[in-house]
Amino acid sequence: MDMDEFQEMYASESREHLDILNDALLTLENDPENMEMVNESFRAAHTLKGMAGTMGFDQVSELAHAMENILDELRNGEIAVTTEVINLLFRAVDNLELLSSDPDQVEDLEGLIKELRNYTGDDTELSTGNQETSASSNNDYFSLDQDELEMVEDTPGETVIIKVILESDCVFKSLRADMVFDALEELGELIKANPSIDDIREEKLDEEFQVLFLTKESKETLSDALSNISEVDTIEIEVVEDLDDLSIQQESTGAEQEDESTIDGAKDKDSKSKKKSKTQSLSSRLRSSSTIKVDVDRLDSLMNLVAELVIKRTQVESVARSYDLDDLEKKLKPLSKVTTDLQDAVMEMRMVPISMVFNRFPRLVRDLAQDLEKDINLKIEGEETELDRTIIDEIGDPLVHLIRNSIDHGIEPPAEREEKDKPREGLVKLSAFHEGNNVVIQIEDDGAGIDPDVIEEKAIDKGVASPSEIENMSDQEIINLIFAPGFSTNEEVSDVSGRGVGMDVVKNKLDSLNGSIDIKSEVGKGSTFTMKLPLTLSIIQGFLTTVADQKYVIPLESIQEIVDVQPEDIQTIRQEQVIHRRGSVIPLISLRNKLGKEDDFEEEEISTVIVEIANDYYGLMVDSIIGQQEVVIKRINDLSENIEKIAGGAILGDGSIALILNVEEITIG
Amino acid sequence: MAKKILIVDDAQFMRTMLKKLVEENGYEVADEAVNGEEAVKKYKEQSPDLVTMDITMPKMDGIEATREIMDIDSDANVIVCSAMGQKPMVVESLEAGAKDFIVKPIKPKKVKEALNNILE
Repeated sequence: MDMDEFQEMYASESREHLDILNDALLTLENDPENMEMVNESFRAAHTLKGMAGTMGFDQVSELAHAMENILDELRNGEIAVTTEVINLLFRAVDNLELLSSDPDQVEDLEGLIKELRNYTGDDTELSTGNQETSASSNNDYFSLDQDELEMVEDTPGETVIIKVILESDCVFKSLRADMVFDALEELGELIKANPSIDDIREEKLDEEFQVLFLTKESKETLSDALSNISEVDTIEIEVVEDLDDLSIQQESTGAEQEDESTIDGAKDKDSKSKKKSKTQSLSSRLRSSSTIKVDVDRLDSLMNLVAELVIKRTQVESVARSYDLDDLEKKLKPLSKVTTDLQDAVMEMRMVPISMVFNRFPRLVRDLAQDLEKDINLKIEGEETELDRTIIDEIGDPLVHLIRNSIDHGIEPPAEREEKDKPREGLVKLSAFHEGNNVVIQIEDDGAGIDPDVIEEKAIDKGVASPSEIENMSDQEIINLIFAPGFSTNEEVSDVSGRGVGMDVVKNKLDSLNGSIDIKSEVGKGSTFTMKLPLTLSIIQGFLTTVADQKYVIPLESIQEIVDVQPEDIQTIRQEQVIHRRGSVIPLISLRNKLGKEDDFEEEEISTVIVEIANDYYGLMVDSIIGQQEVVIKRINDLSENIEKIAGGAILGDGSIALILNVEEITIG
Repeated sequence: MAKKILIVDDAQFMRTMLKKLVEENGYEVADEAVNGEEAVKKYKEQSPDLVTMDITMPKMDGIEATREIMDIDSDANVIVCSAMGQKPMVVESLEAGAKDFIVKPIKPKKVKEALNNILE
């Protein structure tokens, strides 16, 4: 059978079992009495072992097997749940992950497996069932004692020697032998086996064993009865003509049988604990048999098709409008509803709960807390919030960075917290929720907060901003400097949140996703990072405007209102044009100016789109406003001069192209 | 008509692999179940000709499920799928009434043999 086609399924399913292991071990660490978690982990390790073995991934299989043994002893209460054993198991999980994702990073596997085995006090045995102890007797003859010989002589029927050869890769040979004995039971009398039945029961046999059997049945009947047993390779039946061929000896009791009682004891315990686990389990979330898995690429291409359909629909609509075809327009209404529904349905298919990313964090936080010797309580809220798969894939790294920052720089060491009258345990809260067409993710900590004075000093030091620039900045603006390229608040780049990735990388990532990030921080109280992300990437609602004969789309999510500004309303403060509106001063930005076009407003009124960016309002002056429209974002690859001000392109109903403005970029500087 | 087989395993990977082997050998998959409880339920609904039964599963393990299936139908054909090192469990399953066993990592040849031995 071709194993390649199972690769992908193996990859995704083993991923799920690794997640279960991670979750269960975390829960177990906090709640060492929780036997269900031990069972849970055991099952996951066990399943992994089996899957990997079938795929021929021996290292994975062996590692999982070693874990399984430890978990089994935890289950039986032979060893206790300690940080040490949990750490060891976590290391095994990490390496299992690496074996499938990045095999070069795997630590010394043999050493790890040895460590795991040592922990169970079992460093000799590899996998059970493989111990080939040589059969206690290689003698082809049966040694009968007096009683047995008499029995053979007294029983009517023929005496036969049945030689059974099992397939060489048969695992539980003793069980196959047992099945042979069972099948023979009704057909006659079993006198003796070679190796002895006791040895066979202890797996002390090679592929071959022989049975001395008394029967009235024919050879054929015997052979038929045995051939239906799996893994039996050949059966030879030979009638014993002369009983003298059977050498008579004093039966020797095998000295090897001493440890039998201990094996039986273990068996009992094992099967008892097997029966217990019936409670609801984590892994139940894996089994909704009515779901199918679809390659993300397929969904992407479906998404693209739907996007094309939306474009084509808008094209037809615009023809209907320009030729005043009322009938056509009417007919198009239901079509447009269907396409909208279709679009929603496809979007929904791409939505996955944010728990997919959040799930990693309990483990991350645990490890960080341990490394940094801090006490951290991680709270997660809203993990069921759904987001487009593409976005989920992208936000993992930024989130990891922010959480690391919170724990490394935010939360103070326990002693320091006590001095400040804070609880020893620092709180990191991760939450997600919907807000309009956005998903908001917050990372909140009750740590030291960000001190603007410190930021100020560093910013000047690093040349991110000049002292005169900073003089005019509000505290909030100063704090925002941490997003500037080349800024890092920590002097010595620490092991944990250093890694040469700055907050500017986080910000860039969010920009590229059409999202935003801002900070609220209070010295001594803590910080909150708020990320806003679009629900989906591909289709946005926006206002279509024209600037110097080119169409631009302003994303609806940032728009507050649209006003016509009269020239006499415009005031100039510090060489900046502003308007007063509802008690606040709103700076005006000429898009012509920003986009490098000729800036000459002659109109009486200036159409202005008021946008909100990070709690500040700006008025974007445009030539005219066409109206609200749904546009499909297309990536623009070639780098035009204004590339950072443009978030993408869109094809409009009439076939023309509009550029989607990156409003945040426009309002900077 | 092709004989029908109920595949019971909590790992989708194993189910898919078994399904392929079942079909390659000319049998039909009646249904799949992901734990013992579901296996018993589906056995009642479908009365398959044979069941491949994983041992280690959540909710209800394969041994208990084999027992319950044998209670429903004393002629039921159950093949347990065990892992290396699960010998005691295999013994228990055979005592519960399983007709045969296969050992993971499963080998196509062994599955074929076990199926044919019972169904042919």
